[in-house]
Amino acid sequence: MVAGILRNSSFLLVGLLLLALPAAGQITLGDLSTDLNGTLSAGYTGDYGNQIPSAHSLSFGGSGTLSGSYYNPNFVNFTVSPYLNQSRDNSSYQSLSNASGVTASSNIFGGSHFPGSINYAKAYNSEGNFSIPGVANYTTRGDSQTFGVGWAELVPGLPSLSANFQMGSGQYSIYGSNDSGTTDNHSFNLRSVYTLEGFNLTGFFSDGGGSSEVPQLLQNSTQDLSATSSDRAYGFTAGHALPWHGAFSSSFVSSEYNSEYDGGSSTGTVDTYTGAASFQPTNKLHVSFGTDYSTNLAGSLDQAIAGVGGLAPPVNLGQGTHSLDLLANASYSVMANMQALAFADHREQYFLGENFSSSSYGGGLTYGRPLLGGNFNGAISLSDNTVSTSSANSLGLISTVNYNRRFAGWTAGVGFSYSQNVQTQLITYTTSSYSYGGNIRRRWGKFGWSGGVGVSKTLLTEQAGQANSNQNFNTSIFYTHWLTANANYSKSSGTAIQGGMGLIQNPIPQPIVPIDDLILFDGTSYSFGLSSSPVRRLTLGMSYSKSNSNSTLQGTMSTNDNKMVNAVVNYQFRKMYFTGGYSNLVQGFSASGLPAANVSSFYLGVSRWFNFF
Amino acid sequence: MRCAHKLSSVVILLLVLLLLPITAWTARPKAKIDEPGPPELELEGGRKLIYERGFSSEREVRPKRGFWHRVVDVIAGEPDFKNLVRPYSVATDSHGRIIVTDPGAGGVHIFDFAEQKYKFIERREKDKDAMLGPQCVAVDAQDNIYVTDSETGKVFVFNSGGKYQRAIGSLKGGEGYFKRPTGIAVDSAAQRIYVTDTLRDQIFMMDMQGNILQTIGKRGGGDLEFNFPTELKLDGRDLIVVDAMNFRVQVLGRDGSFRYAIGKLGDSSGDIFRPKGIGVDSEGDLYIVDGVWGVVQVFNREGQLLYYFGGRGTHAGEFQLPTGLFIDHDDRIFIVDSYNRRIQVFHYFGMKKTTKEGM
Repeated sequence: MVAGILRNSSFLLVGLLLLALPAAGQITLGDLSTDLNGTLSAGYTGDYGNQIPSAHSLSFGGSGTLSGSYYNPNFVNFTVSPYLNQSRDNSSYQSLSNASGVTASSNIFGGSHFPGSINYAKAYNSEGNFSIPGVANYTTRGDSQTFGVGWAELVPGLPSLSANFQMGSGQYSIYGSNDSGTTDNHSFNLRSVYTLEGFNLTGFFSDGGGSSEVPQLLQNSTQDLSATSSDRAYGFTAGHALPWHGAFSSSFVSSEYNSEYDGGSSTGTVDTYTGAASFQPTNKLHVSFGTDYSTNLAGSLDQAIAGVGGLAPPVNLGQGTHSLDLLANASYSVMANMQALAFADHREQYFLGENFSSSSYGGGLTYGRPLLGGNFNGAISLSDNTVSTSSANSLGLISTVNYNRRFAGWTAGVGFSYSQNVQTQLITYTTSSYSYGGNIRRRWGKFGWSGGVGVSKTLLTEQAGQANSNQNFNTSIFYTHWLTANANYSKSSGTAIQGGMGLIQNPIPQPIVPIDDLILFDGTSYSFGLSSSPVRRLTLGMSYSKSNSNSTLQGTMSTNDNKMVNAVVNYQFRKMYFTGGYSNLVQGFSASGLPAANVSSFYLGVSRWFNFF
Repeated sequence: MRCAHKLSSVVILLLVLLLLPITAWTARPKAKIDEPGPPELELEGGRKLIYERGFSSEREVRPKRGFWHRVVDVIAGEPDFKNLVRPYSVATDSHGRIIVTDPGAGGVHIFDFAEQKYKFIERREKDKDAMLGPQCVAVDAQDNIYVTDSETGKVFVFNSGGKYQRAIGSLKGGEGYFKRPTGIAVDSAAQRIYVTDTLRDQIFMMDMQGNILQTIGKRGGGDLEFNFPTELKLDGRDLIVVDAMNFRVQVLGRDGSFRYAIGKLGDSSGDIFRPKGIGVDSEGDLYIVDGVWGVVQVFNREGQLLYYFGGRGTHAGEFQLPTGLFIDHDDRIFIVDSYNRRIQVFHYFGMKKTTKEGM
């Protein structure tokens, strides 16, 4: 089967070469003008491992770009880029397997009042990622395709109208497990903008949805988790200028959603009304007022999960949940580089059969100035928060400090931020977080070094011990073109929800997502890479990465390992490239009950770039 | 079955290996065939201006390739010839080599058609005194090459072989003394270097070591006042300055004294809109490139328009955003056709010859 495909592909390659024989320069047929260039390659390749049959054979491949236009590039232009048997061993395509596919796009009537566009992409056997937040991604292999079309009407003096439709689907398998997954999505958007008597008017309609079959490899379940969702929304906004350099805007957005998750389903409608006005009576003073009202708070949280690609059961806050928010802001420039801020915020929410309200009043300062030969920037904001469920006030604090300077040939920067009792979407929960980091670099003639560190931690104030944290350390050195080396270490832990292509950090207060659907993760990863160009046109490169993570879902713990080695050597002689490459992947999930997959491939070959016509 | 498959694979490989070079051969860029230039311009008194040629690449300098070179070309492709990317200024040296600054390519091209040689000077990757934005070029009597760098604020000096000699205006810490050096002229006899600093609206007169001897001019619209001066040329006793945003050319003495100015703002023949390169032919007439209209206007020293040539376009003899201009001792006129990425060469056949000074 594979041999047949290879043989057919090779004949296609030969056919393309034959087609190119009489070609020289740009081809013009009537009003059609085209260019074609690309790379053809031939070599010897082999694959072996504990979960694939060993194979080695002659290999042919290539990639190309056919572009052109009809009559004029502003009338119709197009680009088609097919690729065949491209992998990290023999090309710059970052695929462990030999990926093939095509991408194509076309713009129609681009220079007119009615421009349109079409795009299409199809990929076979391409590499993808199954993600775990903060650590190196796990490797998948699969097929995917996307198709999109867009059109707009931009006639001066008339309301503009733009329409876009996009759809995509894919299926993948994960190295180291017997599991596979699928994703499917589509979206349609309409948008119109018009200015009438000084009012800026906008209307929109959107309809989208998708479905996923997500492998439960972290649970050793043979049954995929099934999730579908759909969302339909329409809305209007209107804005107008006001005196004192002011502006006013109001909007209404209504959305219907429907989601099915692991057998359960949820349907609802969220209507949101917003209004805002701002003024700048003097150059130094700026004030604004705003309000918004949502008829379905639980639906807003569901949409927050769907918005980051997460799959989770519907949020259950009871019937008739709604929220009202009133906000006022003022800022005043006290002096150059110093600005004072003041705000007042009042929220009312109804959920779990109860009314809740909160009020916040506060102010702050932002300041920046040259300091000790460097630049200093700082901001602090304090708030006094009261919530109806508690008689005690809480102090809210947001602060950031950054400083950078050059000294004795070094360039360095440090930053720190701390926040305490920051309101979440539900007023009964607040979060606190801190982060700090720094970077430094220096060059000594032909030698250079840089290093950086970043640490962050976020937690719900009311839920002790449930924090998301990330740490990252990186360094790199170089010595002219002879050597470039870099290394990275990162550590991450926290709670996540399932997404279509991996785990996603939970975007909403944790108690809202049932504990059974939260995935606890804790992982570390490190990597390093070397590259060198000892002589002109010769490049050598290698990279190594390793990550280990633990995940716990519904009492099932899985130890997940990933190790990737890549090495490549490339020499260019004019338009020819002599390439050798080696890749090795070791990946396993203890919950799957399978030994880790160990897959290797190598390639030795030559490729030639052609400007066919 | 397995044997047949291997055989078919080998046949395919042989086919590919055979077809690759043939395809490359047929698809290779064909030798450039010069399109016919504009008809020669017949001028008063039997004088005439003819279009000679245009060039844009190292390929046009290199000798015709022999059989084995061509075989290698077929298999591996032709070498990567350097092309003009965004050329700006041009000059020639005593050997007839054509020197072109190219800020787009980040270096200086040296075309030697007589010796069929080419060289590209660059200093982008250097830790000290990197050349980032080569702008205008001048050549002294020893064929040393002087290049202003408008980005780093320095003047770079290379010997005739293209080897770096020194940077003028390089301060401690790596910064350049000039704000935006553009035009440059070298008076070898008097050992003087003249550089326009466009943002300072001044001309600096220096000795050959870069010590400043005199500054000429200030911002304004009067005599010896400039509004973004750019190109410089030495001709006889004259120092000719393009006073770009005053839409004129000022002619000074080599000591910095004002002599006269020609040109006025306008959009008809004889007016100056966006003056770029300048040059002087053997009869002393002044050639001024207009970047927007894509023409070269020729004035006498009384400021009367004698004739013009060119026009906006891409054909031979036409220009798109022309910039630099240089006239050699044989009255060959080299014009940088910047947006068309080429140099166009015209030849003026005049009636009288005068001896130039200063080169």
